[in-house]
Amino acid sequence: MSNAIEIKNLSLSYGKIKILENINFSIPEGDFVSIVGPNGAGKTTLMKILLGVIKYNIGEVKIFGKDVADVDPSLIGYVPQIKTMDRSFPALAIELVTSGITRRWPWFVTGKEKQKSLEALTLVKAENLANRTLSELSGGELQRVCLARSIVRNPKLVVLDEPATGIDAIGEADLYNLLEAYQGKSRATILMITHDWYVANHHSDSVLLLNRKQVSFGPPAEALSENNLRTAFGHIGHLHLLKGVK
Amino acid sequence: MGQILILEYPLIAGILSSILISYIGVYVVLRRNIFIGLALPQIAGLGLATGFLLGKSPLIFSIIFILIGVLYFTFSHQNRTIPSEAIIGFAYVFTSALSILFIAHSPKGKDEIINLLFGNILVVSFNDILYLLIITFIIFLIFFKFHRNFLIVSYDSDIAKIQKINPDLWNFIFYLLLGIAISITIKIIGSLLVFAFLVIPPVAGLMFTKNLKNLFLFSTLYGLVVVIAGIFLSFYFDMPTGPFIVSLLGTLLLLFYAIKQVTK
Repeated sequence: MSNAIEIKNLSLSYGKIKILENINFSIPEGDFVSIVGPNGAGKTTLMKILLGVIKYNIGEVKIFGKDVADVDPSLIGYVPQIKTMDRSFPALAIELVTSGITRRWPWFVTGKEKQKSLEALTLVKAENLANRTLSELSGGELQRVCLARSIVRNPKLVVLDEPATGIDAIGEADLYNLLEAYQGKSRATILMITHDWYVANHHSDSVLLLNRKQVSFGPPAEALSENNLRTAFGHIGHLHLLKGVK
Repeated sequence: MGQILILEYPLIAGILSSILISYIGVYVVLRRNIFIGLALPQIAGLGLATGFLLGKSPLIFSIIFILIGVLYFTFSHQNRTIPSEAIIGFAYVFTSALSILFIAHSPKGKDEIINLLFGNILVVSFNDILYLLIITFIIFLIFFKFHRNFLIVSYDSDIAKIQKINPDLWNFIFYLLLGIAISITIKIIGSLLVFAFLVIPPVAGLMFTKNLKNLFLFSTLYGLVVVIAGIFLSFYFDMPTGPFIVSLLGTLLLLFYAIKQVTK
């Protein structure tokens, strides 16, 4: 199976400050991978490098075998943190989803494009939210709409930045179920940033544990071992929440 | 009939200006860049004042000054130590003061300051209308063609970058179009009315519309209706046109707000 993501000797510095140092891993197509690490570990920076938002200094980053700058954007779906979103933006949920599919948005959207957006909303169980404004949605609802936006073009890679932030426990559980269902159906690669070891342990095929440097990468039980967590976080007060960790 | 003919040019100029500025105003409000809408007209005003002072074309100077302002605002957000609102505030107050100083010793200084603030829509020429028509057409063409790029850059620059839309480039193009629109309309309707059209119609639209398409339509239509009513009513009551239209825009906005509160 070919790799969705391949990173070799990736480093990034701003002046003398090292943000990421010597990162090496590859993710096969169709895997569900979580990036775990403490605040300031460089998780979001790494994600932005993969998305082509931030340029890196040293190393090689390939997405589906191509340099980040050359990747067709329709292959990648992105779900931002909802706390960073402008909820007062005057758009309906269906408009937000349609914005991911057509260059003529919002003036000249075809019936077919609207239908495809509704199908994406249905896939994430949010079809009833189509005509609600962003300000009328709860955190969990908005997260589902953002997920619909990210998958409307059937991307081969979906990247999520701390998707559980700002939503309640039920919304969070729904979201992971939807993600797994989508992955099973589409065979897309899922890359998710999370603080939550428990979530990473239970939903991922592999985990990247990061704290500026790559602490570990592999199956959750190995990557999230006590030693690795201690190295990454300094303390592991909530380790008892993890099951199956060596 | 004769009285209506006198208003023919001002009416066309007012309609074109209001449509253009009220439409772009939606982007300005969505981008939360409202004070740029205040600063750019003042920068254009300084260009006009410099033109008057040197006895050269005020419009050319206005466009040159706007270009400098556009470059300044496009790249000033990269400065993380000074808040961008402070930079905009500085530009506003500095250019306002310089404009007044530049025309203070002009024989018609007081009139020019009033024209700078409120324009002089009643003396608009055929050439003014022609330029305005061409510029309005070109700007609308660009906005319709690249509407999504402008909106995505306004909404989330990371999503824009993922979609291979360069935020710096599209921000520059947006400010450039805004600057050109302001330069061409400020001479006709003045800086106060330009700012009023940039802000009030989109804000009224936000109160009554739920989606983007309706917001653009409402804002443009609101500006259009008020400018036509304002020109006729100010002429009828023998009042200065610019301040009358601003007052009408503001009064209706307050009325809409009251209706919204009552019907909530």
